[in-house]
Amino acid sequence: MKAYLAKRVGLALIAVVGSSILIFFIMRVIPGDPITALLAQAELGLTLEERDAMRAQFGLDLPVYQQYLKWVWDVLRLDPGISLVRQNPVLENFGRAFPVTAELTIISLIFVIVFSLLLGTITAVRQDTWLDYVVRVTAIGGLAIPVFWIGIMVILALLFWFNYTNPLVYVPFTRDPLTNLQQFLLPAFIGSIRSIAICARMVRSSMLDILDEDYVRTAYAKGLRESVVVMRHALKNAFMPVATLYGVTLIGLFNGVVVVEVVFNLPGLGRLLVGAVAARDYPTVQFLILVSVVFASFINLLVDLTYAMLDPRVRVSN
Amino acid sequence: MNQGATQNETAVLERRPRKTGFLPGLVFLVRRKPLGTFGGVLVVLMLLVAVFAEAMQNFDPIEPHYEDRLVNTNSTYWMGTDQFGRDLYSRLLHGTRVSIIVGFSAIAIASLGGGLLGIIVGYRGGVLDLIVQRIVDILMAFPTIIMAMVVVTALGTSLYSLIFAIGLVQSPNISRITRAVTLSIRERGYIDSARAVGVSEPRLVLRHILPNTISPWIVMATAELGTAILTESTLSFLGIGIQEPNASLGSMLTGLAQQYRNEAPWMVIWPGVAISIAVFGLNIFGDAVRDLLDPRQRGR
Repeated sequence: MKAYLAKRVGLALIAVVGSSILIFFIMRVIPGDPITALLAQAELGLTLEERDAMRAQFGLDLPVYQQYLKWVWDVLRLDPGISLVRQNPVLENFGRAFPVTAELTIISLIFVIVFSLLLGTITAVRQDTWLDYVVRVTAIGGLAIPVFWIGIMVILALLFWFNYTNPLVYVPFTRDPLTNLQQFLLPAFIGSIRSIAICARMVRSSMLDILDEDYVRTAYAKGLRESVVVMRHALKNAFMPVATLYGVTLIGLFNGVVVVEVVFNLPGLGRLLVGAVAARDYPTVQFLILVSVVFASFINLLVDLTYAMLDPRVRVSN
Repeated sequence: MNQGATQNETAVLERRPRKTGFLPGLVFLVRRKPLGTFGGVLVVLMLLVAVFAEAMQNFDPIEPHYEDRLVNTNSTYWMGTDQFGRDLYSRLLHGTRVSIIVGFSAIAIASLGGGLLGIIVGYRGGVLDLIVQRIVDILMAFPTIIMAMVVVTALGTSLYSLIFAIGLVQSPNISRITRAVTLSIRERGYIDSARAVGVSEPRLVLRHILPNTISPWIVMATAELGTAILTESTLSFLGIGIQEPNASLGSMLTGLAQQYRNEAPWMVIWPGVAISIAVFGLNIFGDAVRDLLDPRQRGR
């Protein structure tokens, strides 16, 4: 296990360093440097000297590898630079947006786990009944509908039929938990719909495998009630293979979170990132993306280690 | 039992109508895959819209009619107008064209780039394979939207950077598939035989390996088309895809449209319906293609 752990942590570190290089070079090298790009957009009539001065100010006159090392050092010192657009420290914006995204993600994950287990189990136990078909067809259709549009339509429907509007201005949980939840539950649910559909399908197929097992038949034969068989005997075992899936889902959830933050006007990391990308605010974009890569690698690492702990074959074959 | 299964499979293969010709083939498809055929029809309709957008439009899609702003659906403006009085129906046609162009081009890039890369590293193996697989791992660790955003930040918002971004996001998946297939083909007897009679390496890869990877390759590319169009619409919705005044299905739903959604809901309803139908059509068409070309995956 120790050897496996060391190897897996090493690979994760390589992935993080590799992607930090990738991010840095995609942002710097391809379009010429960011200052040129920024100036081209701003159409300021700067002289060559002024432009060079600006480059020096941002350290862009150094060789590329030195720029990279400087950036890594800055990030490690927790000083990822000044936002080009907002003119304040990137970390400050990050700190303000982080709780919003964290809350959204946690609520979404709870939704994903609860609903996918529920729907997956029901459709497996009632395989090939109308219920199974309705859920499956809805899932196929639902995967075709863009998340942001579902959001817009739900907002419109609530307004037209119930004259209800989700609270528009962000309220932190600590200040007013009720309003905060009222604000977050709907977006979190809409943002998690895709993941629910995907996970429910996995739960269903895992559950179908288990329901074929001898011990499930034995449990039925003993005269146990169906709810006991399903909950205690089948679900517990079906949960194992899908448990790690929820880790991976956490990464996929971020796609939904970005969109939902924009639709529901929540000032989280996703909206910060979208704004920064649109304005080509590269210090912000670089930092946010690095954070998301570190986060994704960490989750992947956890998933793999959990696997190895649950199933000894994994660490041997690796 | 095994024997029986094999005989059964042969019987099924023989029972399959080997009718040639377009019409009998079509009848076969409709009977066998009604839902997939429906998806195929939707896809063909979309392609027709993309090609004949100018012929089908009632107005110039970017021409404002300030006297007719935010008009609801009527006989002149079939889907109503937006805040500049632009005809939404005509914009929808051109938006569909953009989505089709971006979706198909991105998948073409991903299939060619990712697919060929998968074959080459799968065939070569060794250190090259190891390095490429680590890079693929890294690319796959990004949430797709984030990855596309990196590229768009670097290249700026344009049709081409959008295509490139989505193509790059999709290519790791496709390279994984072709690599896996190549790995298994590489060990087959006919590859050894070809090598034994002195076939050159490029010829070996192009004539003997590549044709045998085509089927899973097509399956993967068709399956990813819907995802590509969905990603395009999401990026455009977020304001980092197609820019005003040009229309794409996603950009028709951006913040500008949001401001008017309460007084002019048709502005946000139609483009979403169009995206959903397009992606739904592509998805069920892709499922049918997969079932027909790769029976092992059926019902998964």
